[in-house]
Amino acid sequence: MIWQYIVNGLCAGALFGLTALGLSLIYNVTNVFHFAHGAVYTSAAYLLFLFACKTSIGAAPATILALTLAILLGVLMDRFFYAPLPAGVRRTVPIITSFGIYIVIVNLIALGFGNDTQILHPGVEKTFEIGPVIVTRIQAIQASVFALLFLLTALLLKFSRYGRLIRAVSDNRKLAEALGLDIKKARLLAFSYGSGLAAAAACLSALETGMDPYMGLAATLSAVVAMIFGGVRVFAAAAVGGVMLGVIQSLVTWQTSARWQSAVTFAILLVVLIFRPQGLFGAKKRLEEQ
Amino acid sequence: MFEIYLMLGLSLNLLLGYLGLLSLAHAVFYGVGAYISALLMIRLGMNFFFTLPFSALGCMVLALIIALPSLRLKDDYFMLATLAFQSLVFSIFYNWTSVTRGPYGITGIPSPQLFGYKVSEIWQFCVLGFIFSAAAIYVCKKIHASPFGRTLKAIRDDELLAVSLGKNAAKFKVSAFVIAGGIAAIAGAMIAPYISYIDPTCFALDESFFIITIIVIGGTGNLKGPVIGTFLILLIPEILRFLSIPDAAAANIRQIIYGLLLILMLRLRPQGILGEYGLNKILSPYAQT
Amino acid sequence: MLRLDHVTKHFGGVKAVDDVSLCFKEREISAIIGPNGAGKTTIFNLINGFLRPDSGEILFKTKPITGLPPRRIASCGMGRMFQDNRNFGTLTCLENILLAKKGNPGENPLNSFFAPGKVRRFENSNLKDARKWLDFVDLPNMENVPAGNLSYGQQKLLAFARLMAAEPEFLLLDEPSAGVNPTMIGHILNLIKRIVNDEGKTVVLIEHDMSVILKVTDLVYFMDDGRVRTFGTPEDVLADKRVHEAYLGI
Repeated sequence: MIWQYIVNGLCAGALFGLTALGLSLIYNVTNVFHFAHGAVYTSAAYLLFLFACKTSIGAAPATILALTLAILLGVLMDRFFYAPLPAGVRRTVPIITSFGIYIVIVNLIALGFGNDTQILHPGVEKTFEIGPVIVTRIQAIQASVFALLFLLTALLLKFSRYGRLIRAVSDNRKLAEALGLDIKKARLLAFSYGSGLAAAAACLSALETGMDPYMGLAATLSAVVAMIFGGVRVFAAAAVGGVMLGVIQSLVTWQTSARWQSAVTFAILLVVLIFRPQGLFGAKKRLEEQ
Repeated sequence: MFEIYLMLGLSLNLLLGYLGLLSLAHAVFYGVGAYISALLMIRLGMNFFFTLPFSALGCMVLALIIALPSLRLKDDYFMLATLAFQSLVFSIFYNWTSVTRGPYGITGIPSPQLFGYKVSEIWQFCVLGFIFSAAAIYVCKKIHASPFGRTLKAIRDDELLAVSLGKNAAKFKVSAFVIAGGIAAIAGAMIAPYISYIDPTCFALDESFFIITIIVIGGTGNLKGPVIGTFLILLIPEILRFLSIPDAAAANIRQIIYGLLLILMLRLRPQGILGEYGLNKILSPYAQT
Repeated sequence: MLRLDHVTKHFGGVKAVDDVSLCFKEREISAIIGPNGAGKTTIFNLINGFLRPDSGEILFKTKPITGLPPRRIASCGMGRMFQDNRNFGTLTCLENILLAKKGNPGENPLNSFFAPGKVRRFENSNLKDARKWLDFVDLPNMENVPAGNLSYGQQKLLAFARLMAAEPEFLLLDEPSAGVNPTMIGHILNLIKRIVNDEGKTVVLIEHDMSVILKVTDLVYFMDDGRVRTFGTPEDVLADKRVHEAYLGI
């Protein structure tokens, strides 16, 4: 029994991990706490719904179109709302702005598609039995997409020119600026790649449980907890934190009931913030940097 | 309604306007105040007016707890801690069914009674609300003019400098939280008999954001801001109703207007319509760390 | 008045302050000089409690203050002016100074409601003192101007007035002359001399301007690499070969 819950948790956590990884990229590079990430997430799911169910272009082109438009949305948010904010502005401003963007987009979606849950993929899922555990086809896809994107992101960050740029800017923006690195390009990369990861997670989630306009906030809040839990300054930690959070939530459901999931999630956030603000895998900042 | 949101706006302004702290947990005080008052009335048959001190005290103690992270955490992390509190308390409202009846909410909250005189008509509630909000304005006005308020603003501008002058920043922050919690609790106690029914969704994260919207639109760091903010924000649904937009769409359109106003105000007039303190103030290089 | 005994502070592997002992006498103006990164500002941070020494002891008026929180050290009579201008930018000049006075009953919110007379009386005398300090630093027409709108030199004067209004016995001034024009420097030096001679304060400066050192100080410590290399009268220290090497590279 416990293995079933762990596997379910791993698959749910894979989605948190993707969203959190995107959020972490954006946060580290731009210092924006991007709650409107949730709007990108919701939009991706609804775009997929729009293209896959209302047109006849086929599943693969619909997915590609949805991902591309969601990425564009994320980039435009930065271009028009975050990038013009002056450096050194109180952090309150980008946070409230991002909530404003989130509210506007999500309510536009609700106006267009209604507040109710939409189902993308009706019917019974094919399942596999691996030992004592039952895995649905979608769960298998979720887990493998996560593994693939996680590896790809790690490789890109480590070895590609753009990955090095992102790491340099997030490590020390002032220094990177002084060295003449292209900060604008780093922002563009972070927002596009980060939004892409969230959009992928949204599409996978929509396949499994459908969508409603408010799915993005829940996903983003979980991603925030995952990012803080794992460690803000380490990209991989956000993804791992997401997977761990998924497993913990699933085990809470097993032991008590699903209603206590969010209470436990936010209790974790509080405990981590108070006792280990650098996260599980984050190193403590040196005193001079504080 | 106006008076209740005015009190919420005034109390949040103590934190956001005077201390520069973005708290996403303001609906917690509002909700806990409402639940304490409603439960005491229903379960113990207490008079509304006797429940007020309990509501206020309960929220003040809670404010003490919520203030603690603000002493250690800065900016984003403080905001996250309040977000966690908000979600945690919402979850408790929702799941502690033996006390709060969870999602079913508490129904049949009786009207306040004073010396046999029953407050049940809308205009009677307005008078009652007017008295309470006038008291809240009096308190906030005193604080605005007092050395206490001045030191709060100083801590907002440069906490280390204030500490180097011997100010106990922690004590000031906790005091502001406790006062804000108390005022918000009274607002909560008011809403319970006014709509005679409360459930957890009345006090969710959206509600915290709604209160922030009032302050950002109206203005931070003085008294006029929350007044004009509350007025404008509550005017919008009335205008929509006047334009006879169907109810289902009106809720979403209202939200969209609020969201757009938030973004535009922060961009064009970050101190709000009548505020004194621009939320966009550039921090000194020291205070940024 | 103030003594540091074998104080050491590491940052990671770097010894920012290494076994430093200093002694500052009452009613004297002392200075700490040295190249950038010598550990001067770190010493100030250790004295006023922003940093905690790894080892060693700090005695203020013969009482140990090592490891006390900064606000406690401040209330013992320690005042500090920062290297860069630091003011409460959105508050007016007058408010900046009104803030500084210690033991203000109005800072307890309850007193505004239950003892308004006490608050008002204190505030009235505070206002008189604050205006006196604004006059003292020659900023009398700036009362209602937000501190953030002042020029650099004026901000420095305001910071100085605020420091004085806090009535410290011991003043740590981090580069009071940096970034200020020569007339203003003369003005500030006069103020420093006046507070020592007339008010009986004790002052420690961090300074790079040698003419300032020669003009006002009684005792100079020269630091390099986190250690005190030499100390004595300003003339002696400035004549020292090591000081020349550090500053001129010869």
